[in-house]
Amino acid sequence: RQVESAAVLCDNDRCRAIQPVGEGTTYYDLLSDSGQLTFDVDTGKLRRQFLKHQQTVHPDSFLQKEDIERALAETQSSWINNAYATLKDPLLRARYLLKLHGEEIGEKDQITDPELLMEVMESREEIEMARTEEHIADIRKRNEHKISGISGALSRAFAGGDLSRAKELTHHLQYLRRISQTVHNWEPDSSAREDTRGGN
Amino acid sequence: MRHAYAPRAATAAMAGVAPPAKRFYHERVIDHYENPRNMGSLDKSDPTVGTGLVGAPACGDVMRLQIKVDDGGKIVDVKFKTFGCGSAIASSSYITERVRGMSLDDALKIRNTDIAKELCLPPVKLHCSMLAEDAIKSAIKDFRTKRGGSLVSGTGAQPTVPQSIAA
Repeated sequence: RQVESAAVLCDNDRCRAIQPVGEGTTYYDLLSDSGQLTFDVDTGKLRRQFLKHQQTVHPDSFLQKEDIERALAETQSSWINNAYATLKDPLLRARYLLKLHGEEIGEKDQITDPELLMEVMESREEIEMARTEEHIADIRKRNEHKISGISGALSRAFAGGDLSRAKELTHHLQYLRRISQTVHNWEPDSSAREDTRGGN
Repeated sequence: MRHAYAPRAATAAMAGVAPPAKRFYHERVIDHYENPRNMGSLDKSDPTVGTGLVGAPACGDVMRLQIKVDDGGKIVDVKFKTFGCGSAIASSSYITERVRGMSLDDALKIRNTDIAKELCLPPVKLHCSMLAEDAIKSAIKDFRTKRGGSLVSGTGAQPTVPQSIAA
């Protein structure tokens, strides 16, 4: 019997057997109405779809079932969790879209924009030098502003099919998010060299 | 036969992310991290200073490496500043120690694999050593560009055949 590839359960109401994760399905197939690979998403709808799917694979529903079904339920649950976490977050979503289009960001990627690196270096140094909550709050605000600018540009780049621009912007967003994380972890009197041991 | 129900582990799975693997840093990495050599900066506008600025977008690391070069083409001072993980900091700290006193051409010969071997970096951190290799190349390229766009070091002596500098 054929089921729609993103189906979590068999769509026959008398059957409803748990399915393996469909080969070649994307997170969009699972969580968005259209399955279209867009950067713009309705996060409310994503969440509702996510919760609906999670209900169907809850371990309690599989207590009396076969081992294979429980195993499939776990795989589905993991897949569903990853789908939601990825599509919900603009950076993860951008990276996922790039991956789907064969432009995955890898460790070997180099930054070709020296201005970006200088900007990042200055921001990180400014955070390091900051001594007051007010200053940090100001840095956070400026960073958030940059992030929303980048997110807007990303939306346009993906919509226009400009993958190389989307990739550059995703690099930039990656750096800005790292700065957010640093600001978030900042404490007064923190030592000049930040402890990143837990971070990466 | 019924199977016992084992409660699902943790919230990490619920958030859809695997819990982070525990990081074990080699003592050499820890040493460089806690006692970094040559951390700081040189005057970027000084004509005898070359500045390399590199980044790894996958993790958001940035690394700045600066060299001061004498008339004999020897690196007489070197400073670094790195924002990143312990392995990235250690790689840049280590490379500053290595290149001090070297000629530019010798410094260009340093490979990331040398750095990784010295620091016992695990495979997953190999890209950190690559970043350090990129940084020294970038600093040397900047210095040579400042000397008038030629690839010859400013000695006035017999020019050596330039090594190709990786982009």
